[in-house]
Amino acid sequence: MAGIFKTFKELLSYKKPKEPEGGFELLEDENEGVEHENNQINWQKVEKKACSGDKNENITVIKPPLTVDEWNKTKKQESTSIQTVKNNMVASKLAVNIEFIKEKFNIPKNQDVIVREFNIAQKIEACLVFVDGMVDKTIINQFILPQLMNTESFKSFNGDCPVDYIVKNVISINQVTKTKEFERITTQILNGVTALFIDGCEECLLLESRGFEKRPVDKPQTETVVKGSQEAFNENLRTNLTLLRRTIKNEKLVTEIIPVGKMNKVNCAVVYLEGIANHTLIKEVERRLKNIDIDFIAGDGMLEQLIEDNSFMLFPQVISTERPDRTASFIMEGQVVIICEGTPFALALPITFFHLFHTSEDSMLRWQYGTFLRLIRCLGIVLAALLPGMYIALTLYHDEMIPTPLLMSIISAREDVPFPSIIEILMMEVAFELIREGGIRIPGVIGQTLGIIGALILGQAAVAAGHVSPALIIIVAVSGLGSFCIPNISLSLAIRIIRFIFIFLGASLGFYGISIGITIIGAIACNMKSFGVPFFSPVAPKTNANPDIVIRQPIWKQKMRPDYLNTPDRKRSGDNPIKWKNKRGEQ
Amino acid sequence: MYRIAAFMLLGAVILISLTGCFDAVELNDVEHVSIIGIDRGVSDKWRITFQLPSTAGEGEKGGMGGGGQAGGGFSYKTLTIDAPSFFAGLEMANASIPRKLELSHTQLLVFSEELARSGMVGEFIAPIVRGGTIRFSSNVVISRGSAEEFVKSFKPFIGKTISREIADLMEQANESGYFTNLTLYDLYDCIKSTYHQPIAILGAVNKGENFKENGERWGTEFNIAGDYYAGDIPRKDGNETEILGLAIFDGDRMVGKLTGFESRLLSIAKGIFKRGIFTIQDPKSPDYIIPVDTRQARSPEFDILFEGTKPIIHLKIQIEGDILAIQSRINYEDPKLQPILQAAIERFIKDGLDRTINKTQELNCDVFKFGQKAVRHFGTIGEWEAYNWNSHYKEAEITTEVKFSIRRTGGLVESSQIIFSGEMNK
Amino acid sequence: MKNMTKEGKIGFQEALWLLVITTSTKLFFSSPTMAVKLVGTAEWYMTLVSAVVAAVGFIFIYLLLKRYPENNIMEIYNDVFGRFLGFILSFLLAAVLLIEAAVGIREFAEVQKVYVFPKTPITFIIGAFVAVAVILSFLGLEAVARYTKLVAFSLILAFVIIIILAFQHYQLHRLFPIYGYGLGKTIYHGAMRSSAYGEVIIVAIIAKSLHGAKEIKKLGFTSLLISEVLVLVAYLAFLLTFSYFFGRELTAPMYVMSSLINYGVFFQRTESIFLFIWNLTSLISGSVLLYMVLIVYCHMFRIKDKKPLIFPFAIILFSLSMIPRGIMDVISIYRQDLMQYGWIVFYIPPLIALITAIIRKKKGVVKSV
Repeated sequence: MAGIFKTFKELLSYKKPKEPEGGFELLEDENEGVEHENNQINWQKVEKKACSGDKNENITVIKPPLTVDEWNKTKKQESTSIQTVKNNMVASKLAVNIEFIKEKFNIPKNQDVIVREFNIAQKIEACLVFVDGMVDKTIINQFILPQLMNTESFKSFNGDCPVDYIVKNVISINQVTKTKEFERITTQILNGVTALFIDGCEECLLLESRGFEKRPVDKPQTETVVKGSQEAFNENLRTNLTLLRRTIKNEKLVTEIIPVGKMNKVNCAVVYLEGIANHTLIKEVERRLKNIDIDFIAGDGMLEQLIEDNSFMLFPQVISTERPDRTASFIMEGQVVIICEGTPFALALPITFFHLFHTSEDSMLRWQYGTFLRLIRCLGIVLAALLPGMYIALTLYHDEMIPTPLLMSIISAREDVPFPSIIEILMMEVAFELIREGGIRIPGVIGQTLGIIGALILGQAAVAAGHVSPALIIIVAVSGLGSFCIPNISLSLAIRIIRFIFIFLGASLGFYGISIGITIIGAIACNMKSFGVPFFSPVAPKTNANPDIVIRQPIWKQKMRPDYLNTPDRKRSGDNPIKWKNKRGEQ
Repeated sequence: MYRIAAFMLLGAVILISLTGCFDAVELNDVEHVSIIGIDRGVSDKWRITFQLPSTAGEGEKGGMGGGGQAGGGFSYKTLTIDAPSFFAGLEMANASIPRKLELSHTQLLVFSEELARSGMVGEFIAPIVRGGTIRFSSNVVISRGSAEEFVKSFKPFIGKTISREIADLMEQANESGYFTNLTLYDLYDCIKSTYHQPIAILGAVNKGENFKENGERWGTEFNIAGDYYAGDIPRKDGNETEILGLAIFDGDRMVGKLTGFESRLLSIAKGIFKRGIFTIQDPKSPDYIIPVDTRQARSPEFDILFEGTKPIIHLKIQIEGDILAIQSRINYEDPKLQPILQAAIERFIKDGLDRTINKTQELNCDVFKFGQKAVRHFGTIGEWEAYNWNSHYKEAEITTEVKFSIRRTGGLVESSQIIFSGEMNK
Repeated sequence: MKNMTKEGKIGFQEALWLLVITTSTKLFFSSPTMAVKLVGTAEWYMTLVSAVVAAVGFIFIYLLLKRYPENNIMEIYNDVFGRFLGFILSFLLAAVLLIEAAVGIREFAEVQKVYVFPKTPITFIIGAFVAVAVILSFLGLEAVARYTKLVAFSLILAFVIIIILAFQHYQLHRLFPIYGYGLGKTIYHGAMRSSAYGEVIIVAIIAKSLHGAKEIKKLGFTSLLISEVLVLVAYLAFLLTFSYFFGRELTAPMYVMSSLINYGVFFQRTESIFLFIWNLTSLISGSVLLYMVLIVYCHMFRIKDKKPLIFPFAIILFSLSMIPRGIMDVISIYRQDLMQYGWIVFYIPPLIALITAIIRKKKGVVKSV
């Protein structure tokens, strides 16, 4: 009761506003747009720390006074140290290095990076730098610190810099690198490697200790097959490369790792078979990757858009796949594969149109089944692209081509429909696209049921209300089914866009318009090149091909690698891949 | 830069399209005429009848059912108009019909016999062929009464849509052979032809005049089956319109008719006869008949020789058939008796053929397409046209030869007598 | 981006189908009608005579090209006749090709207007066609050749299917009397109409993109052979379906022939397939001819980049297509004149050039091994 009275009173009386008007606003200030240099290192602090040498300012330590020579030596050491650090190289004085690292990584504000100072063999000062969460703590706790802190192992060591001694005798880590450049050290630390700085050494040791959380190897989400391996890539680069290595056990398989992106330095692996992939192609790929000047690459999708030949073409120029076995077949043909950290996909290039509608299942099954499936997919593509456009062209311009009974049934069904044909078909197409898009967003079981029920109810209700003729529902549904048959998602999206183009062209000029569409799209597609390979090889231009374009001939007939890739080694197999057929009874 | 230009061009085309371009015609905005009938008019030169399928009025359009119903729900209405020309008639019809008349699905053209005999068919066909909308595959029928009556009576009798009806009716030419499935293409080809003369399908409205309700029952007189002109078949009820027989033209003027039976023989002579049942008198007991299911065994062969300008033609026909019934139960299946039956059939057919040939010769119309072989005797078109085959047809000496073989006898391999008590046993 | 100054190399099969489609597109229009009017029932072997004459003409072109390896015909004219005369001859060639393209486009648009688009203004149809020609010219010879090869197989297959399906109306007697209007007339008209195959001179224009004289020989003869077979089969089918008195009246006999196909309630009205073949081949043919004109013109005036010229030539093409008054002008005057006199530009200058080159002992220099 009192509460209500109080609220009423507050409503009527005046109260001074507490907050400033508008709440929080993100306004412009003079810092915006100004490019900051990456190195905002506070050199004064570094120098101060270096000169004083004190780690803790609060505790005063009484030291014996130094002689002039010693004083000169330390001063010289300090100045050289600072000089080397300014050149991004490791300095011999540990304090300078530590301070530099702290400035670079914004410690202690940044609580992810840990700087662990300790003494090696209770004598030499050293420090470990690593990112918490990226390293496997077991390795540091059991394999680095105990061995380094153990005085026994350092008994036979006399000298200034124990780096080589540690590498050879003390540490039991499987991968150890020595380096001098801070650029590399910071990159590796951010990748999960532990850096070991030792006082008095101008080299730093990078100890392999990666152990972050990652998704286990799972089934492929988008490219499911019935008969074939059920492993797919995941987001970790090492896992992906391992999956590839398990499939191609060849010593000539090369994986070059190139970091891409200025601010986030994503690792990209370029994988190819030395001696099979064309050299100029490899060089071109590396050239493009190294010349990308962008701050953040989220995954292979963005990478694809940055290295492709022509961004305005409808068709994709690289193919992305989720399956290691398919990637392996691309590598064996002579293509170059790029795997990027962060997305479970691999990019293969160069490609032709026919790669976009093969699946790995075609090769796993016998040739009759493979050919049959491919023909069905061809039909699916043609229907998906052309069927609504042809329907519109037929009913608007060429009704003499429709058989009379069919015509009469369409007319009687369309009597109740108040919209013109083109509006009708656009409505249904847009509704269908909305259902498809919505079905992807909604998770799990609900998503699939929504798709089916939505399409069914929408279609049925629309027909019953008399807004759409039933023939049209069938047309839209069949063309939608056709586009589901397309295995590659980029191609399927391209075909969906082309379908709309054909609808407009068919509505404006009938079959003439559709022919114009076919001509222009065909010519533009034939003009397209994917990394120097014309898009419709090996049909146009005619090159010596594997008999594996649409009709797939048996595997023992596919003897050569594709000609358009210009591989150094053309032959896949010897002259007689099934030798056992000729030799009867022999081994 | 060029891409921008290309996209602009394409964009301009697409933008124009969205306004519903020039020739875009919705299916529901036009009225597809299914049959056209042409008569000589009284108020004007031509009397044109259009048959129009319409979905208005009859047939309930329920909620769920209306959209799902396919093909049905049509009622056929006719419009007759007198006009100075065909296209004028089309346009004047639109003074009362709300949708534009569209001729691309017309399946039947009906001319009245009166019009055909006046020689006006060619006059009419000329604009149709040029227009290109009426397809060459539409059928042409000459109707005995007025075309208006024919078109009005031609409604779907068994099926739902008229296009099926027409197509199925024309298919009967293959089943019985009583007429030939002739299209506008054939008619136009033959009108202009120097090789032969045109024929057209004969049709009529059968008002049941020949069907005598009361009277003496029929005796044992032998009537040749199908030897009627269209509209004369003695029947009652059923579909009002009837198609039987062929009309013979000289150029574009109709000069004669062939009955159903004669049309069959014409088809046999031309080699396009598919099958049909001939009923012949039993040679050994003339009160009874034997129906034979006949097919063509081989294409007919004929030789043409020229004696001066007179052609001498020898036509040889080979047909075969299956016996369907032997009413007299004489055992014609016996190999000794088969030749008798064969000879009888051959005689029967030869008589009919000769009758037909004489009829066409009197009319001087080569509908047998003998001209097609005659042309091989000539080298150039000039010579052929100078000879003018069509004018020499009546002088031709035509001899025929018929060979018939019995192939099968159906389910019975022997006929035997019916047993009576007493004297009826033969 | 595409560099327009140099034509890339195109393969044998692509060039072959390019030539075949450009040459045989004419037969879909009124050529059969005019041929029947002239020679009657001898039309089908008249094309044989035309092809033989064209082959003879091609032999001269080939010999000329063999003499000048790696040169195209404009350069050869310049070399043999001197710059001024060579300029005139190249100009003549370009003019004839441009007129041929314009007449082709107009014929296509007119026939479409008669049968398919009665109400659409003809500028729209021609405009769309020219727009496509422009876009294809921008893309360059390689792209067009590849695209042609891609679709050629399906087009030829569909064409063969139509010819086979039209079988039900074939009657052998329509071929008789076999000599038509007389053998002499047949041979005369056949020789005149050899310019129907005159597009074989495109081989000479794109000689730089091909791989040597041997390939040129194979290309020319094979393309002539294939076009001849196609035209022969088409004319034969046409004659077997329409007698000579009927056929000489039709505007687009191939279209009407495919509209006659009727195998029951469902398998009828199949001229939609035919429309596609027609449209696609005409679009390719028109674009290729425009592109050839561009090549010759740019060579005449030593222009390196073709791109700025494409739009102006498109407008010229459009205007030229609008010149004839109506369809009868196109069919009986323009197309006929092209047929009757085109061979003078296609075959005679190479012959004269060959003779002159032999007399003056001029030969081409082989630049690369």
